[in-house]
Amino acid sequence: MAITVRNGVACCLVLARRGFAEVTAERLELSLEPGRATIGAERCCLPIAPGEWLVLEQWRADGGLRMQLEGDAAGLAYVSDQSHGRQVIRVAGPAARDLLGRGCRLDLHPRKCRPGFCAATSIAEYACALVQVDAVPSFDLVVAAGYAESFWLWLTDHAAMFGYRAAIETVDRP
Amino acid sequence: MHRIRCPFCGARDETEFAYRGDATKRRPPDDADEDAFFDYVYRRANPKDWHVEWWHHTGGCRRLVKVVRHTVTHEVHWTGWPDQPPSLPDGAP
Ligand SMILES: [Zn+2]
Repeated sequence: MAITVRNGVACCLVLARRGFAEVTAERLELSLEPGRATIGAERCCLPIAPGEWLVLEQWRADGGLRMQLEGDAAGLAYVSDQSHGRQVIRVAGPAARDLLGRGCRLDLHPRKCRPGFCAATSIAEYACALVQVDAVPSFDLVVAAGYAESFWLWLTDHAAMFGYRAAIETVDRP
Repeated sequence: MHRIRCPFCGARDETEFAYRGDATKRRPPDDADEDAFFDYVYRRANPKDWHVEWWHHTGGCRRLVKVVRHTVTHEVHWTGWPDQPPSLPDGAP
């Protein structure tokens, strides 16, 4: 199993104005279905609340993602740049479900949880946005940056019994 | 442990929610007297029965969820959004 700190990810929160969730989703190609992320070559979008999405993309110039989203959703939604406030950690490998199962109360069985599955939830009491990105399976976990180190320690503590490799990478796609 | 069905997130464990009390209380008008505000802020029924209440989905979508729960059996009969009228079981007061 690999546990990887993923740096170089831009992260924005998109909040649709009241009554504008559908048109915002259409304009930005976001999913309206809870628990279903849209994962493209460039961008990963997670519906985390009614009319609210977390958008992850490769880091560009400072504020680049926010400015593009603001332009694309002008008049429809509010955008806030969370890039400095969130940290993405990837857990990948056949034992990933078992590791997350030690702190996550969702049903992560492959019957329910396939690539594209996402949720805003708590893992071991850390507020976390979770998305399954592939069938390995790999999970991206988005936590508050201030909790990232503590969350990392929780992950690696509980991963010891499965065996893991720790890494830091600067991603060229989210 | 309760399992509460958030209208957005689906069934989640109680630990993701914060209890926020009676969902039937309405804020009195600004010019209402002290008794009306005392009642609004402090006075609560303590029913051994069905109860309409707020649960905040703190650990998920961070929205308020309206819940109809039995205070003895803890059965959750209905959940919905704040602007939805709650559905009470037959025979509920
Ligand atoms: Zn929720």
